[in-house]
Amino acid sequence: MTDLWPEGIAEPVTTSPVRFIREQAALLGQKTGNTVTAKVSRSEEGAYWQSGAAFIYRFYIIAPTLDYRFQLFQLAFPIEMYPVTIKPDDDIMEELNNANLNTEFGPYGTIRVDSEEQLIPLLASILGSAKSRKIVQSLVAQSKEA
Amino acid sequence: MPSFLFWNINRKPLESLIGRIARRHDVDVIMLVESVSDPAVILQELNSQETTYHYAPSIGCEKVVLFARFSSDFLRPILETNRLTVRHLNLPGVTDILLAVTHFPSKLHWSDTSQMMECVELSNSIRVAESQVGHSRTVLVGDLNMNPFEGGVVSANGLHGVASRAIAQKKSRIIQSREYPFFYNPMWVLFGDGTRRPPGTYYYSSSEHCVYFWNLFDQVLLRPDLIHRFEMDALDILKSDGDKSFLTEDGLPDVAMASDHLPLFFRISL
Repeated sequence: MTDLWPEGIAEPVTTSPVRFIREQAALLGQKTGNTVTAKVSRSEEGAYWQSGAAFIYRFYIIAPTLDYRFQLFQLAFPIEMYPVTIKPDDDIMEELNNANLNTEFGPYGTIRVDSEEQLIPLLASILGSAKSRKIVQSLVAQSKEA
Repeated sequence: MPSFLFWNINRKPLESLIGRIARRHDVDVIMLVESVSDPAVILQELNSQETTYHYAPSIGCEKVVLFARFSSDFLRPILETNRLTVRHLNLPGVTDILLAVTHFPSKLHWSDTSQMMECVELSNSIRVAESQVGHSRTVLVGDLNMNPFEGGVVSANGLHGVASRAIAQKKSRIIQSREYPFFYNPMWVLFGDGTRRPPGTYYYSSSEHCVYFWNLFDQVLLRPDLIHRFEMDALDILKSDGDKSFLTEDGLPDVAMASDHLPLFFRISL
């Protein structure tokens, strides 16, 4: 049988956006000695805030000993991977609104980025937001007392 | 039989009214939204006659404030977004339940369609929490900023809240090969003048064609597994704290004296 597939078809040319958030999720556990971790879950339901999204993920901060999770943001992207739409927690969105980011704010409290170069700093802003810090720090403190 | 009070207090210092309601109705769990008072001030009022209440803080949800007549250890948050806190009410010796409390986006800022769509997110979060504890004995309470008949509350992929116990007790419905669990919405019985209660929890009038005047934005919904534990006769829209009326002489919410929303009271037998 003749192989009609082109050379290199299985080699990804773009890193999947979910890989970045999974890496960050893993890093949180390392920083806190797994007192507080993060988890990325794929959502089965569609995202109304980005029609046509093939992949939708939720990013949770988790305190295993407290059996607690907080949804920090959702991320959706099409089969082509970009544009990526992120729907952060409302309080984080308010912080981002005031932060003069070079990003495109969409409807329903979403932010759209067209490339990896835009995605990375946006993720940094979300993870570095006052709300993210507050939640992680609070969970670390409470987990130690649990 | 724990009793519950939910009230949108319209960013007003209503501590004394909350305290009087709590004592008069023997409230076990108090859930407030649009509360800007320091929880310590509310707690002081709640405990002005006897130290019985505890503050049950959220971690990531700042829009809902809870107090309970037992240690907050029995009302731990297990899943939160900024508009939702899901608590595991796990009192010793009785059946544990999930208490999901929300303050949904207002119609001032969100269209009906947006609210309906956001209900899908709320529903998903509740299902994640149910999966986390391994049961669906869930009560959802909050200012939904929607009436019981609106799409977000009724839609299968939204809250799937139905007016009939018989339908809700079928547990779920399958649409396009996807299964959606029901909520029973007892609020339907409180519409209009058919009861001794006010015709809704929130009054709004404007000079447009379609106006409901009285709305039931503040609601409690139950998963089928909790229906038999819900004391239907205790469900009430409170119109006074036993001393002061929350209504004007015209029967509308007295915004000057209390809130633009009326408080909701209910009991669940655990």
